[in-house]
Amino acid sequence: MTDSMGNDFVLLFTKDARWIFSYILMLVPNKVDAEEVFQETSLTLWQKFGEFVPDSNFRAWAIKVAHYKVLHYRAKRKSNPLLLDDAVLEAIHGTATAMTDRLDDLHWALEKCRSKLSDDDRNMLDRRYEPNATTKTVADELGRSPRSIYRTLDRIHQVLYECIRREMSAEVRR
Amino acid sequence: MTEPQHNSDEICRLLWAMREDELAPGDAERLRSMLLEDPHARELYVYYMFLSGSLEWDSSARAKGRGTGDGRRGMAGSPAIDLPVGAAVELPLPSDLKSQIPDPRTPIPDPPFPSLSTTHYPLPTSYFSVGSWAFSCMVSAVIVCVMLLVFWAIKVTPRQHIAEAPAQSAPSEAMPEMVFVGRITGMVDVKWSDDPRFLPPLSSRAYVPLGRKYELVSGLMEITYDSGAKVILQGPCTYEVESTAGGYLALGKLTAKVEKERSEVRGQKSDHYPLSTIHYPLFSVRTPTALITDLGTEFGVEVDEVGVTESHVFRGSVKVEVVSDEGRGHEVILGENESARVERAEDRLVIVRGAASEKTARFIRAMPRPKPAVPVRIVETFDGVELGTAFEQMPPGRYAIRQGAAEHPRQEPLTPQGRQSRGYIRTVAADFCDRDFVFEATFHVRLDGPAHVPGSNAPHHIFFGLGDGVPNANCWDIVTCGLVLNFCVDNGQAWVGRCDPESDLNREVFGNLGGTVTEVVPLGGLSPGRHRFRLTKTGRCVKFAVDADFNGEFQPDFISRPIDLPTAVPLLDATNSRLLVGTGNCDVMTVRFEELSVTYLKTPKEE
Repeated sequence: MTDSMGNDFVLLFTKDARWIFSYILMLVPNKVDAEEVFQETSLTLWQKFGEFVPDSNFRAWAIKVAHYKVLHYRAKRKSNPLLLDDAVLEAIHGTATAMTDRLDDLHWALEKCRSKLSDDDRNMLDRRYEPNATTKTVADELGRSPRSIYRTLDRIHQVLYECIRREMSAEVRR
Repeated sequence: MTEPQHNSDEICRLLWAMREDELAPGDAERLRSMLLEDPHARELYVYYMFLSGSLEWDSSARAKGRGTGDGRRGMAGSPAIDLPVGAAVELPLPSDLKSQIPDPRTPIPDPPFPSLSTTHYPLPTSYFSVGSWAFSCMVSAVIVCVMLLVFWAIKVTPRQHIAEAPAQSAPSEAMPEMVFVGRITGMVDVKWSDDPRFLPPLSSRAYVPLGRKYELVSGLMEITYDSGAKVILQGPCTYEVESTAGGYLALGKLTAKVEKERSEVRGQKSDHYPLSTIHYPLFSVRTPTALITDLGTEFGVEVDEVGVTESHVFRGSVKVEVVSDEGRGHEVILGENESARVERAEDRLVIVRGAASEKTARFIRAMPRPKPAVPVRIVETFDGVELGTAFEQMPPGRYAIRQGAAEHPRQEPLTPQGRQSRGYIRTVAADFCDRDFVFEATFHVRLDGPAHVPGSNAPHHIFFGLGDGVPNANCWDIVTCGLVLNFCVDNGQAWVGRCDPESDLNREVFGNLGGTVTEVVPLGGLSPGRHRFRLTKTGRCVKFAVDADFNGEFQPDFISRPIDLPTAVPLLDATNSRLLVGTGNCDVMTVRFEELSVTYLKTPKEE
């Protein structure tokens, strides 16, 4: 793979990695398994990037690879009971693909609103969603009760909601 | 937006419990039902998982930026990650999937993308493990319900992005309600289209929703509609499920067989509409140029690249109508062994009627029966650095695979209150209670220190048998559920024990572990050294055999009495019946598993 192709891959992958991971998570609810499937997907995308048609839909291509990886995962797990069976996943799959456009807007609004949070609020949100973090660990770090952390997070989410609502309304009016 | 059938709070609670791996069996079934029946629940699920993924993604990206000293956010510029060799494990897959899997033996350059895996973030089993899941559930419920309210209240205009959204389904403000019209009931050698907008079904027995499109490059796929109609698609073929009684064949061949009478019938084959009393209309297949309506029969339809449609009747009769921009036109009724072709003639579509031709032989009228599986023998000789595809470790990484053996590394001595360090190598397949087989294991064991002294140190065990392969948290040396041959290295005794989740703990009475079913080797009968154990199952009956001082040819020195497996371990089922070997307490014991083999005595039952 040439340097140019590598750069192209990085550009395309970084734009859509979030959706790929979220798509996998929808079909593989267990986060640890989803990460493993995502790793395998990413590796295959990298290895097969030479087959990708330039200027075509990278996200669709990547989702397709992820889809096969999910099938592979389910084939491996066929002897273990899966929480979501084939019927449920088929239903979810249809809903998920139909909502892709909305998720783009939602993420855009979420990012913009998160940047508008106060430093304290943003730090609190980031702390809670850090790897290995739990409400209890955040409470322990800050020397506060878990209940107070919950109330703070609740308020932050309400702030986010109002902001996202305004942003989405502004987008509609544009 | 669709009207919710279920309470959003309850949906959020169940989703959170699912994410925390704390979903009770009853709640799991409830969640499943809600996701199947309620489009609102599915929307919530999708939003919830998207938000989870998005927040985690951002969080990981920020953490990685801090960890490498790179203050930039996002993925660009993240350092390359070394992936372990052989990380992609090969499994026996259908041929259409194999091409998607990279060969782990091929050297690969370091990919320039970050990892969410335990490479950098050693994660607990559940990322969202929280002291109080109810709190986290409430937080997530707030987020998700907020997002849902946003989309209830606000009309969203799709943005123009550099990467366009997949065109598989057109964006619509109203979320389409998922209606299942049947199920996939067979697949043979299917190769799916490479079109990135097409995603293959999730399984060979997936439910078929209204509007689903199938694009086969080759192979056969059978759909059975709830009405009883069966359609066999022959690749190359593009078919879209248009209704509860038919579909659109854009290209390729299909055979349809409609056996049910045209009377009011219950949707008995639909798990989703068990009380439905749907009156199914006549089954029909639409093509670019024709509409073929079944009148009680079996027929084939073929469409070529320019939309010319050929219909052939194998049994009964069909009606063939011309379909054009002007609507439906000329029609004919075809009887048995008759054919019709709808083609363009002088800018008109016409029907050319005739007798069945040699082309009818190209239609597949029944799914080929799968070939019976031949007896298979699986052998694991630990020649690589990882286990083959038939076996796995529980917990992962407990045994070091090297130099042709799986060896348990020496562990730290246990505290008096400590539990034994148990580990298993078990089959991936978990349905051996339904199979007949011979399972054998060769191992070498030695004690490098004092044997077990009650109250002082823990005994040293080797396990061999059939069960879930999960160390029983309540009992210090056996599986949670199974029938296991316990070899106590300290005193040379081996007995078959029954293990269940209610097994007692804190056994100080050495030798009375689990529910003893039968002694196989008396005290002092087995010394440290190389042995081979055998487990034979035929029907309900299992027997254990031991070859002490194995020298390459199995010659049993000890044989158990026949044991009725369902009676001995009634909790074994097709989800927890693995073949396993394991060890308990390796402080001064060194065990090397040198070979595992499974020989099926007859084919497993088909579904």
